[in-house]
Amino acid sequence: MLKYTELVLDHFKNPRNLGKIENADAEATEGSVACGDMMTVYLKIEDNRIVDIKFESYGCAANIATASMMTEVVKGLTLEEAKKITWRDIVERLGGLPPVKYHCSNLAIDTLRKAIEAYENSPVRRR
Amino acid sequence: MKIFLDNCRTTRVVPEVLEEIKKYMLEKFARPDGLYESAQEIYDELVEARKFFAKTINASSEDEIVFTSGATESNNLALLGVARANRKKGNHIVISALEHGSVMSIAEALKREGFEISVVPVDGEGILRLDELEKSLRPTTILVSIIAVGHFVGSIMPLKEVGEILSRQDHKIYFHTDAAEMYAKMPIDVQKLKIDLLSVSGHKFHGPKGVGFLYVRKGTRIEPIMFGAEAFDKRRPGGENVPAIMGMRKAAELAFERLDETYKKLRELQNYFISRVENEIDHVVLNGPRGEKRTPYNVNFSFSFIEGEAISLALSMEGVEVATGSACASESLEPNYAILAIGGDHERAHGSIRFTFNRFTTREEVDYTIEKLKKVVHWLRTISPLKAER
Repeated sequence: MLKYTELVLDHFKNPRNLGKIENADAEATEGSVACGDMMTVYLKIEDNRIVDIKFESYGCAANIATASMMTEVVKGLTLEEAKKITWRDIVERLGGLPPVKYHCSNLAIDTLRKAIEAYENSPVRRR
Repeated sequence: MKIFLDNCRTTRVVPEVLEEIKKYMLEKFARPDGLYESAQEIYDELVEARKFFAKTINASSEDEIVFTSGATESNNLALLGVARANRKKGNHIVISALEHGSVMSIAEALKREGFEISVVPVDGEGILRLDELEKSLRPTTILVSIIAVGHFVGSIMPLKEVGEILSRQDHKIYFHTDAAEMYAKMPIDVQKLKIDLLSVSGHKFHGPKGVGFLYVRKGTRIEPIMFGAEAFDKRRPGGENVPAIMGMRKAAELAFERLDETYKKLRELQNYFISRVENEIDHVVLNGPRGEKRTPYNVNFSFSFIEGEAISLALSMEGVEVATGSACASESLEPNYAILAIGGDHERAHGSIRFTFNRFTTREEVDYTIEKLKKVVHWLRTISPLKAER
């Protein structure tokens, strides 16, 4: 039986920073429907700092909760600081996850990094 | 409000059953293998219970009923017992693609013992492909095990046709069915269906957990899978769980008394549920057949663009408890094999939810469930990145 912490259930039920940012400075989608987990992360960036972040999720409770916690943790951080946040940091902040769910929870960090990478490699920014 | 719609997993014990269990725990607690009066009394009552169960499936004798700890043990005794006892006649066993996990695991174990296993596919509704079954049979086939009702998608298997196919073969092939989802819910006649072995679990029809029986047709070559001191039945040693057996008997009596009435009521409720969900929620797929080919106890839908574990957890927070075929809800992280077996893709498997009724399920509970389901599906779809593709 999978058992989630109260905090995980709270983030699942009331996800923070949920939704889409229109005209986001960067966005990335990771995962696939076939895998059962998919996520999109949107970033608003000013002076190399994440001033706003939102996400959408096709995924399980662990996936939604880790994404929600991740957005809370990285909002306000510089890109360099955000890149250093690990999956483990997020899981610890949630009070842990069932081991079988680690795979589902990786997606939040992977998608965030992909979005930052997209921003850093964007031709607009390079100009 | 808490609504339990995972009755395929288990059902609640009803008060009459609990009273019966209590009686055999507090008053009639002797073991049946003693020589003294109270033991003899229990022995006779166990014989009577066997007679009762034999009658419910039209078995020819009470000796054909072996009490077990439930359908998993019954399945183990049936498959391992028959395979090992008939190894000299052949080493080939046939199962369906929708067998319960216990039968799948036993088949794997038999493979390791050198048996060959064929898995017969089902069609898009989850009904066994009889043509494929016929093709799978060999001169070395000793046993065919076909689940009576596909427990995830509710499909009623063509047991009569299977029995006929097997009876036409040149050599004896034993026919086993895991009837955990059929017994005490629909009539079963082992003579008409030509069934040699049949597994039952008490907790599927408001009896206690940890008790069941295996019907073994007289003359079936079967080896015990457990060994111990001689007991009531040599095929299954160890002290009988008399209170549970008597509780299961009471539960079966109550179920059989209202079999037709329950069937009719649940069929109406099922049709109502299916039609409301299909009319009020878009992008849903009913998994499994419609009408008489489906058990009235089961409804299974896949909801596109969202994931099953999230649906079931959100429903649980609203007081509705259901099962999901989502890989994320299982330890293996494999998509639900039943949905894949009926031709569904991974998304359909990930988004599947099984609602299973019991004889006490009411229209009010179904209405409440539908309202909560609409809310949950709408909410999860608003947060899904797949909405742009709709």
